[in-house]
Amino acid sequence: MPGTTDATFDRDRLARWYAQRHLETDTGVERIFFLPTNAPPREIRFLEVNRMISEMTPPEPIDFGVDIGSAEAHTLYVLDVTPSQWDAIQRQELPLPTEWTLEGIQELGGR
Amino acid sequence: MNDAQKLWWRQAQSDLALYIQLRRAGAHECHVLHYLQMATEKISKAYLWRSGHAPPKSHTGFIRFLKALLDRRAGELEWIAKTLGFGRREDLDKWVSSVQILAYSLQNIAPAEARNGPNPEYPWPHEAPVHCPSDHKFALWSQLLNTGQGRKMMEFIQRAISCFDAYA
Repeated sequence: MPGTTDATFDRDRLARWYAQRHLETDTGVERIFFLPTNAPPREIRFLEVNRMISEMTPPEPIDFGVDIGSAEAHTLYVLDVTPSQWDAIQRQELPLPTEWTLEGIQELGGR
Repeated sequence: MNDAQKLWWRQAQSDLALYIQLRRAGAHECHVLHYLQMATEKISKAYLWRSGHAPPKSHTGFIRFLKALLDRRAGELEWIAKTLGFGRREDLDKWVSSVQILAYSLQNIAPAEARNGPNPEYPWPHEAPVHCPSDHKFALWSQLLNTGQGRKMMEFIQRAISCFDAYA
């Protein structure tokens, strides 16, 4: 994980690092999107389109507990969705979590 | 480790203990697999409680645990890898990448994830069942028992649960 300090916390750089890690460590992930709008300054929100998960579970974001209790503490939330759930989100037929928005969305990688 | 993690860890240990007992007793594959899958679900939830708040009540899954663990800082991953039986963090990385299909198979065998197919708990398909878990030979169990990757996976799960307090 790239180092950061209070003065140099770079959320975008960390987001790119996590995205690369997730593409390396989870072969089910097809696309990773970073959703920065409305997120607190030290919160990274990912939407990950995954072909290997079940659609039977409604999507809920999960806090990965990545860096707690240090000066560089930050939060990574990952919302896993199937490809068809992603289509439904884009058509606004499936809501995002409260205060999450696709506005300003950045795609950080895919297969 | 916070209090919620301790509770989920205790339950993971209990599920794992029963998995070992059932395996020694020669129980039907479905029950052995079921307790192995449940143990991984409990340790996944125990780990994700690291954040200080509850992970979703729904199925969390073994893969999410592995991903979250590998998102730790490089310095931490060096000793976490050794704790889990790997020489270096790169070895842990490579191993996780190599067992994706097996890990997803274990995660997706839970009834909530099995999409009306083979699962260790309920006859299937639900609307017109023709299969019973206790009669079924699970390809996943054969892979876990009879391949190097499978045996390493079972060893990893046992270590991840027994050593949880070291990296929680």
